[in-house]
Amino acid sequence: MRTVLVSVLVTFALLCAPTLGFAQSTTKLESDVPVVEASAADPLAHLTAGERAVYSGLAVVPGIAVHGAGHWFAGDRSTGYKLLAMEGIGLAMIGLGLFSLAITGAASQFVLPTTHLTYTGFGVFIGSFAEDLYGVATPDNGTGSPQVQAPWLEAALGYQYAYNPNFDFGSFAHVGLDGRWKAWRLSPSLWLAMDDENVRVEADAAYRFIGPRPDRTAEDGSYLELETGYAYHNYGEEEGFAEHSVDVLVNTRYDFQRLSESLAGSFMDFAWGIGIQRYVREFGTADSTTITLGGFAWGFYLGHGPDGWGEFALVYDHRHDGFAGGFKFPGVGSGVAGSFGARLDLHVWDKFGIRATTAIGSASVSTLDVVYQIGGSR
Amino acid sequence: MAGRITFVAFLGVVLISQTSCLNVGEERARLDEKVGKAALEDAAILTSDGLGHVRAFELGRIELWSQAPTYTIELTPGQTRAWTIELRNVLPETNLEGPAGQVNCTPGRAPTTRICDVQADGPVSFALSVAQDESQPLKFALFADVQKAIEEVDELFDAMAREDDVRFAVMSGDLTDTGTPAQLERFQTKMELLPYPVYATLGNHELGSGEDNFHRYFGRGNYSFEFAGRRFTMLDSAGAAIPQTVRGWLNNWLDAGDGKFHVVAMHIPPMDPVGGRNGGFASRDEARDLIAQFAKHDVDLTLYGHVHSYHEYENAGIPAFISGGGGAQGERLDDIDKHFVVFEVPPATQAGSRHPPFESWVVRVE
Repeated sequence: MRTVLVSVLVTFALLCAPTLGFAQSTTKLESDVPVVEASAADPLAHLTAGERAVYSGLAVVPGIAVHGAGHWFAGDRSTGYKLLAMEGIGLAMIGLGLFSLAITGAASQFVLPTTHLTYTGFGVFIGSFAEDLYGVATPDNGTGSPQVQAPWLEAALGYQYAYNPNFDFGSFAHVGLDGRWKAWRLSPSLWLAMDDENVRVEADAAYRFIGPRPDRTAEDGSYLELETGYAYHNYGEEEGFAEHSVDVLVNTRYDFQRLSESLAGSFMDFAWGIGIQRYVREFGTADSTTITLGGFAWGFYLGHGPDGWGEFALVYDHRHDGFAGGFKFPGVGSGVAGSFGARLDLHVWDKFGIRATTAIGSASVSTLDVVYQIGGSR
Repeated sequence: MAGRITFVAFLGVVLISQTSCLNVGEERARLDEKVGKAALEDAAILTSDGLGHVRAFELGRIELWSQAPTYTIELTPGQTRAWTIELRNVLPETNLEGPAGQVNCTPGRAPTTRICDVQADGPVSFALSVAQDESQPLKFALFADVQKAIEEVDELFDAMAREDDVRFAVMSGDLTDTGTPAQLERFQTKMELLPYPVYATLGNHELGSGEDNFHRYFGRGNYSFEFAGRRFTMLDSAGAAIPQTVRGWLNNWLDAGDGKFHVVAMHIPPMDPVGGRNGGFASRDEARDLIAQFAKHDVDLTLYGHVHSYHEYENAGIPAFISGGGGAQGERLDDIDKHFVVFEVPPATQAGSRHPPFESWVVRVE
């Protein structure tokens, strides 16, 4: 089944890639919303393609150890130093987090903040490396621009394939909705197994303090919002258990154009939260527990067309429940990490786009949705 | 252009995720299947369910590391008639029961070693024979997470040795710091100071130097045995998961434990009682699925390690204990340090009732 899925995705890619490129490059500029102009302030705007290739190499070696090296060698020393400082902050957070976990013996009283601190540090550390590479590799204005006005409706319909050797499910139908009104967002979602009894329902509500809204244009794609959600996941009669969870999260996005013009079009997401779960089952009694939620993503926007949208992100999600679960690191570190994955949102035509996600944790999970969006502009 | 490159990059991530190994621990399950058998020239040995790990097999001499109080030994002697079987990690009164009656064994190099001289004119079967009284309570000890404290483990073993009537100990993983052969050998030597055997499974720290070191010294990581009418099942959860093959074995072991007092032990608990710490399985849903399976079969007691503290709680209504006080750096502010736990489970004749009461107490080692 996994082979079939991969084949379908590869075929889809080969068929769609030229179309996607066309959609990006020929979107008609009919909107009143101004298109992001080429930035005269980008200190690396003068670089040729060949030079960008060389500095990209330097962003990897020695940049893998000294983040910001690509920018530094390319002449944008200010950004280089900022990224180096970011690397230092990330390492300090990792060090402090791990040290705190070690000296407290992962004591229950300290484990929540130290866990958040540690994975956030990893995010900052990885982000500073990725930003250096992105800044020297991409042309002026970067790969794309954010939607500075959020759509008021996004509807997604698609297919998910989840492979977990311990469960019988595989294929799911997925439907999701993001409805926005002013600063509020309501996001119900449903995953329904087509080959098993498994069903998952989620409903999230969020309030955005800062950032793009349907009724207000923001400076960029950065945002800060508070989200609370409920999820119900029933594994069916054979497995004999179901999960109810309630959670609360702080979600943030930082557009790196704020740090440097050469980083325009890239962003990082961070989330910190906690949840309470209750497991009910056919046999035995129910029990409740807490869960640490959060994660980070590094990514970049795709396309500049005013009516389009698009972004790609590499994602780390610390949650250990849901379809993906935590990553099965073999060895001493077993069980600690969450899942790793990627997310691609791409405008294809008119109000339609695609959303593809993939994650690897205790299961490998891939989703491909068709997205219909109303409102929203760059 | 960026869209195309990104899409291809995304597909790369999809391909990686779809081809990643998710069945962590499966390789060790395959190693389990190889335990308990050996052959040399025209001679061969097979122990039931791999419960006797063949540490040495020479013509006329066998050394077995035991992971259960009783099991059977199938010996094909070939041309060699006289055999010496060294049974390690067994109850001190162990003898062998053969076709010609009981073979009396003599004490060996450790209190838990027995030397048995047997004659075999052809393929023969011996069973380890020990006193089992189902009408009496059964006492056993639990400890885990020795890790770096291997040189100070004597204090723990001294205290464990002083406990009266304990028949054996369950060691739920992290015997060593990184699972090197030298560390495993050191642990094995030290634990033979105890007057009773220790049935161990591996922890995540045993994976620090490869997947197969534990198996070379101790044998299986996943196994199940019955003693005095009670069933004990040890699972290898060192990878924060139970692989599919072991789930298949577990079904049979749970069936075998139906109607008996059934104890299941493993290193990493399916669920950390401090949920937000994630000191449990990588997937909470796999954890819940496993616990639901335990509940379905009325498992009576679940024992874990990994968390360097002491916790007494319930999972799906099944009593659960975490004892991670074998000497590894402990959790702060929990008011408990080095310790082990003693359990006294009721006579097997009471096991028909759902979750018959048992007693347990923590022994702190100062």
